[in-house]
Amino acid sequence: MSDLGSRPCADAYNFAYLDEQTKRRIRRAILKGIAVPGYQVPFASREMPMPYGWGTGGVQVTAACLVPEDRLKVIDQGADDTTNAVSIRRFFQRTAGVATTEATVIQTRHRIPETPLTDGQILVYQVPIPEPLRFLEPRETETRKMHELEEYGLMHVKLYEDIARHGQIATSYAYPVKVEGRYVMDPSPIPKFDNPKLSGNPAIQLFGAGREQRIYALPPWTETVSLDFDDHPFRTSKAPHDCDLCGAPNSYLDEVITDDASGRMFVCSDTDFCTGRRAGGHIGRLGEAA
Amino acid sequence: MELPADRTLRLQALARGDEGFVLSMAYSTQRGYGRTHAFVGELRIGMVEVEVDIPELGFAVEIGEIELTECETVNQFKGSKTEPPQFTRGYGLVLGQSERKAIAMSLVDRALRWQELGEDFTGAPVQDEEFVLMHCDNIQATGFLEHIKLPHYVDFQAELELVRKLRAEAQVMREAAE
Repeated sequence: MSDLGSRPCADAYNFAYLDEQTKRRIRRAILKGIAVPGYQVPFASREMPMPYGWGTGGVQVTAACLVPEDRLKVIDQGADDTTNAVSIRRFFQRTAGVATTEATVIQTRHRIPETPLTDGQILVYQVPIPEPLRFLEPRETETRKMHELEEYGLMHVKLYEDIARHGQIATSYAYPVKVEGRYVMDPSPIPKFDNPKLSGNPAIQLFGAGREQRIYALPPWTETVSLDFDDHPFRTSKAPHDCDLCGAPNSYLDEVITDDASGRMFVCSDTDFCTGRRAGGHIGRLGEAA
Repeated sequence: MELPADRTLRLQALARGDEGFVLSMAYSTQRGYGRTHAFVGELRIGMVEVEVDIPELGFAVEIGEIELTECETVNQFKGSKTEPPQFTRGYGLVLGQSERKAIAMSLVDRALRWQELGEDFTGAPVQDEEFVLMHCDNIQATGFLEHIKLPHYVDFQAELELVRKLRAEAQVMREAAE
């Protein structure tokens, strides 16, 4: 995470790119989402100067939330330096002039940061497919009805069939949760390792799906339950190693191939967390003292 | 897009739709998947003026001209449970000079009208409004397809750990059986 400071936005753009009317409409959708946690609110998604599927929903939600005093952080796969994160951060630097450290708003793709979020922060998720039932029932007209009627039997049958076939629930990311005992929600493709952090989180969690034109939300301290069975309780999962750079035993790890002779290392997917630990003197198997 | 869609919404979506997708859908009806045989009733290309109604002025202002291709097909129809035998129509209107897309669009439009004309749903993809309309936008399709180029190592790692675990358990089971 680099502190690039506050920069004036190019005069040609409205603050945070979107026009104020569009932001109002998105804020209304966000408020509705917060009022009905886990419910997918349709919204008039705009075409953004980036391809669908690359975070157009997250970008619109972020744009609608940002104020000039905000400090924005953007991560992809937990890392600040991945291409999608860098591009989106630059986009907001150019159109909103927002600094990016000690974040008040964090836009993320596929991870929840390791460092616990705090009251007053907003976490914005980029969502490819907002519908948790989509791979069981491809029709939106059907899945909307299933949510209306709270008809989630199909999902439980799927989880049961996983257990019958594999001995366990064979979903490792985008693991569905039930929100406050009502809506089943897709938490976006975060690893199920991150699922426990969804529940009882002091931050506001907003989910934006631009191509599918849906926004949904978890207000602070909302209870979410990862779907499971009494005799097959939900379990998180990560590579059974410590981070090779900072030695963290409990962070989510990426596996990096280091040569063509099966050499590999496991490193924190959250680069900011890992850098912070190394700066604090923690050294892993392959790390060097700072 | 709100579904079920009325015909105007379908036509808007198809006019914006990807030419290759609309063409293939139309071709599938010609080959018998949701078959309707079309005769071209009208096929024309021309320039049209684009006017914008400006409420503050109280009159419309012409802001330019665009080229359009329009097609109206006349389709065989032997009648259904609710309609007597008659000809039916399909409509296509597309930007630019593209007879191929205009004709294709009118075939797809006609096929999607099965419900209002009392025809049977035969399970053909082109009769499936949600399938056709949700997948004809090539900006959305291109973006979502190309996002596969972005890194996915976090979810891949999660899947990798799962597959390793399942394989390890399968190995134990196999050894126990031997």
